[in-house]
Amino acid sequence: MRSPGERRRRRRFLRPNAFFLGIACSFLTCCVAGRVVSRHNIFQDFERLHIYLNPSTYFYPTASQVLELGRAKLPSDKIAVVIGGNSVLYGVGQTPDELWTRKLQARLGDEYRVLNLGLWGAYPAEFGGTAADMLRADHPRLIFVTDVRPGCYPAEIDGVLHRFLFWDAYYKGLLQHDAERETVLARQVAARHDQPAFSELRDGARLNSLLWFNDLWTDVAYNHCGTVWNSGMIENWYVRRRKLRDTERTAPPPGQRYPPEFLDKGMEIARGCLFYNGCRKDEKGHWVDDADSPVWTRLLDNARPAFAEADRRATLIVVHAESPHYVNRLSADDRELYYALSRTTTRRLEEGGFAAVEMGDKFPEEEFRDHCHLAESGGARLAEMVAGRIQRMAVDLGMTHDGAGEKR
Amino acid sequence: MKNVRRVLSFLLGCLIGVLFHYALYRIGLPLEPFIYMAF
Repeated sequence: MRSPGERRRRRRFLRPNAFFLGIACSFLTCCVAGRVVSRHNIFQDFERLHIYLNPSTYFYPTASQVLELGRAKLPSDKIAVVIGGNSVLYGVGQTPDELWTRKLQARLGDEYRVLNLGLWGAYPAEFGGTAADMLRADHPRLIFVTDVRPGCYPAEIDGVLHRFLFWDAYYKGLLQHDAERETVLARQVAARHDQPAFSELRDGARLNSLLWFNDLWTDVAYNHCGTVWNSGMIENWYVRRRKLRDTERTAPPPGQRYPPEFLDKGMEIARGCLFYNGCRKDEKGHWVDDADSPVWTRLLDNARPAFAEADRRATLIVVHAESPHYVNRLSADDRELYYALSRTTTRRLEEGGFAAVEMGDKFPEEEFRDHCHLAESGGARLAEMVAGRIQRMAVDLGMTHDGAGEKR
Repeated sequence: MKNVRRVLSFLLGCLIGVLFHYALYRIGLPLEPFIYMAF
């Protein structure tokens, strides 16, 4: 309890009307400022979502900021190529100068514009997929590229680690309407009723769509100063992100890429794909597609709702592979099964309405940086492979100006 | 003196309003950042 004297002194100093008016004015000004800054692209010299532009250092780009970035980087007279997916397509193991998406841009030429929104740990439709979905509203000539492991497509439409972007876009009304996606999404959301963190994330996104606090303070962190200390930026947490450069290192020399202590882990990951066995042996003892396997029904049941039906043909899925350093250590039978799964995944995705390419066994182990990420030479091979498929897609989808494109 | 108190009260209110808006941003951040481990 405050003494009457203390209450009197406080009343003498504070004028309640002016005080509460100040709270209301500044709070509303912040909301309006958040809305205003969200309408402009904040990112300068953007190459990819490097360590200082992603959640690993508490930087969470908002849906509006990603949308404006896309609008700024993808002129409407070009064919837009949005790269999503995980760290493989992000380009872990490649410096900005070595980045595979730069090579892809060079290979595709001036008729195309490539935007790398791959993000560490992202699910196939997560983050980059959300960005592509938002951008398609005003960019009909858009091809989205993502990646999956052989035999597996995760079920969650909004992703897992970076679902903040999906829900921000959802509550801001930036996503396309798709009845199938919304039905499946409602089912997945209902199944998460016992996850308070998910409820909080959704409530936060809903509130942000009204008050724009994430947009304002993320803009402040990018353009003015960092406000959140974090263990990834002990020395420079207060520096504006605009000043901080991509620190991704080049791949170590070939002899240092596969430390013996990681052999068991690498083998475990390679064997993990075999768990999704959707193949059977034919009469000659070779692994072939098992048409009756539930693996393939599940693959398409998970993949299809993540993309609106009209967008699936403009979605290219790269079925990536583990390094032969590990796959070649599997038994001959398991190795054959691994690549049969990769082939079948690619074919099944194509049958499901997507475009797909497989890395398969085309990438030698010296083109990998580790068990799954590519070194510069692997990135160059990936760019070549993806560019050819994108050009065919652009022709097939009537995206090229002359209707013939650069068909190879 | 009355006007000075009004202005100071208003400015203090402004500060609290900005902090409140910033707090909404901060409470939405996870306690632990996402850590990516490549090997």
